[in-house]
Amino acid sequence: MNEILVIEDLSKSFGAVMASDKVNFSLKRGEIHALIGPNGAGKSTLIKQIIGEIRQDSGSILLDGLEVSNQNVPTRIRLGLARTFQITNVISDFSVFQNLLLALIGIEKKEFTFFSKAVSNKLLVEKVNKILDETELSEKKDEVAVRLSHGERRQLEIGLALALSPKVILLDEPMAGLSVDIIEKMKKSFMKIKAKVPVLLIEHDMDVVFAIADRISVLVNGTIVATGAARDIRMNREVKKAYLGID
Amino acid sequence: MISEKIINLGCITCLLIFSLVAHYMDEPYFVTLATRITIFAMAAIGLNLVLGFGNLISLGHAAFFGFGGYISGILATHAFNSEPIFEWPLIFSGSSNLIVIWVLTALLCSALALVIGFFCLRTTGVYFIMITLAFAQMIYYFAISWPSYGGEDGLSIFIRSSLFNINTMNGMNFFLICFFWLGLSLYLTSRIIQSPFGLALRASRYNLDRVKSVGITPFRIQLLAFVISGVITGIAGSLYADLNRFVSPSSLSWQMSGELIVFIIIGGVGYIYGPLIGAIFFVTFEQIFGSYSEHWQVFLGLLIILTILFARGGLIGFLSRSRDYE
Ligand SMILES: Nc1ncnc2c1ncn2[C@@H]1O[C@H](COP(=O)(O)OP(=O)(O)OP(=O)(O)O)[C@@H](O)[C@H]1O
Ligand SMILES: [Mg+2]
Repeated sequence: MNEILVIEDLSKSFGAVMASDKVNFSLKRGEIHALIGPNGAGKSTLIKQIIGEIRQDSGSILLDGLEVSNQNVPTRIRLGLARTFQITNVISDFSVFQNLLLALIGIEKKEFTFFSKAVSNKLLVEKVNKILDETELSEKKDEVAVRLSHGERRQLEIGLALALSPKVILLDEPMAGLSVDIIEKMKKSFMKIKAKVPVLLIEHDMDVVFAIADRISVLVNGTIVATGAARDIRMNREVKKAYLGID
Repeated sequence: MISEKIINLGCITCLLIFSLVAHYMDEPYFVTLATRITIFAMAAIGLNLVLGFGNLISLGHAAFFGFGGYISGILATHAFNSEPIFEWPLIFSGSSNLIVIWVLTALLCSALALVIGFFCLRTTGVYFIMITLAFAQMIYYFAISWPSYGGEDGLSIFIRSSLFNINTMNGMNFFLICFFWLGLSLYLTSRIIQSPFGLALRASRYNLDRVKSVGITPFRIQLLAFVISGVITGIAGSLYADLNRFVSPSSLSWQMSGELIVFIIIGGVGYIYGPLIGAIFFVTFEQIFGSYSEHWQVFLGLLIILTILFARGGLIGFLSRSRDYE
C-alpha cells in the first residue's frame, strides 16, 4: 500500500465556521505533500484533528491502514504520528538536549523509570546526539530553549518530531518568520527528511512549496479545491483565482 | 555565591550537630525541636515533589500529614487497649510496631492520594488549589465529628510505638529515626527528579501539549507523583504523631497545609533541600520571635512577602543562584 495516511470525509465545524468540510486527503510514502490555502482556510485545524488535539465531527483518519481517529494524542504519537506547532512550542526551561531527551523518553516508553538518571541512559543519549547532528544543533545542546533564536527553536521543533522516528511527519508552517538563508538550509533538510519519512507540509511561501513539494493540495474554506502534482497546481485556474489571486 | 551543594550539606549537618549537642548537654527540649524540624521538612519534601517540580499547588497536603498521624494513633491505641480495629471479615488488631505502622501508612496514604489525585488532577491552576483544599477540609471535618477517636479533642498515644529493640522513648533515638527518614526522602526525591520520570514531571509543569506530543500522558505522570508525594508526607505525619504521642484534627487543617507551602517558599520552590531549609528557618524564627511577641507571625508574613518579591528561589536561590539538578 502506497498511502501511509488517508483522511476520508473529515468534517469539523466551530459554530457556523466549517473548518473542515468533507476533507479527503492522502499522503504517500516518500513524498512531501504541501497543504496550502489562505489564512483561516482550516489548515491547522486539519493537523490538529490528525494528531488528536481536536476531535472531528465525522469522518475517519487512517494511519498505515489503522483507524486512529478515536485515539488520544499520546497514543497516536506512539502509533507513528509526529507534528510541529505553528507557534513554536518547546519546554522553555529545558535545554535543547533535555527537550530531545524528553521526546526519546516518550517514544521509548521510559517515562515510568524512576531510579536511573535520565542522562546516563546510553541508548537514549546516543539517539539524542544523532538528532542533534541531523538538525545541526550540536553546538546549542546545553542552551536553555528560551535563549534560542527563532530559527534555532524551529530547528528544535523539527528535531523533536524526528526524535520520535515517526511514520508521518506533520509540519505546520515550519518556516514562518525565518530569514532567506535559513529557509534555503531548511529546504535542503526537508529533502533529507523526505527520504526517510513522508511529510505533510503547511507552508505559505509559494516559492518554497513549488521548489520542494511533490504534490500540493489547496484548501479553501475547509474544502480541498484541488490536489495534484506541483506543476499542475501552478497551472490550475481555480487555484490561481481562489488562492494565488491571479486571474 | 555559595554552591547549592554546600548549602544543602551545611544545613543537614547543622541539624544533626545541633541535636547531638542538645542531647549531650541534656536539653531534651531542643532535641524535640530538632525532631520537629526534621519531620516538618520531610512533610514539605513530599509536597515539594508535586509543588516544586510539577507546579501542582496542593493546598490539601495536610490531609496526608494528618491521615498518617491518625493511622499511627489508631493503631497504637488499639494495640494499647487490645481491642481489634474491626472484626469482620477478618480480625484486624492494632499495632505498636513502627514497621507495621509505616507500611500501613504508606499503603493507605497512597490509596488516599490516588483517589484525591484522580479527581483533582482533572483540573489545573486555581481550581486545583481549591479542590485539593476541599478534599482536605472534608477529612478535617470528618475527624472532628468522629467521636470514637477523640473527635475535636484529638487522640493520645500512651506509649510511643517501637522499632526493633530501640528505645523510642529516648528523644535522641527518635530523632535519629526521623533523621533517617529525612535522609531517605531527600535521596529519593533527588533520584526521582533526575530520572526519566522526573524529566516528564518537570516538563508537565507548564507545557502539557508538548508532553502529549511526544507520546506521554501527563495525567499518569502527575498522578503517580501525587501518590509518592502523599506517601512521603503521610509518613512524616505518622512520625509527628509518635513524636507528640498525640494526634488531633489540627494536623489535618488548612493551616497545616499552608505551613508546608510556607516552608517550601522560604527555602526555595523546586530545590530538593528547599523544604529543609525552610523548616529550619521557620521553626528557628518561631522560637526567637515567638518569645518576644505573640504576634511573631506578622514578621513571618512580612518575610514571606519579601521572599516572593525579591528572592523567588527562596533562601537557596538567593544564596546560590544555580540549580544542581539540571
Ligand atoms: N478552537 C477554535 N474555536 C473556534 N474557531 C476556531 C478554532 N480554531 C480555529 N477556528 C476557526 O476555524 C477556521 C480555520 O482555522 P485554522 O487555524 O485551521 O486556519 P489556518 O488555515 O491554519 O490559518 P493560518 O494560515 O492563519 O494559520 C478559522 O476561521 C478559525 O477562526
Ligand atoms: Mg494555521
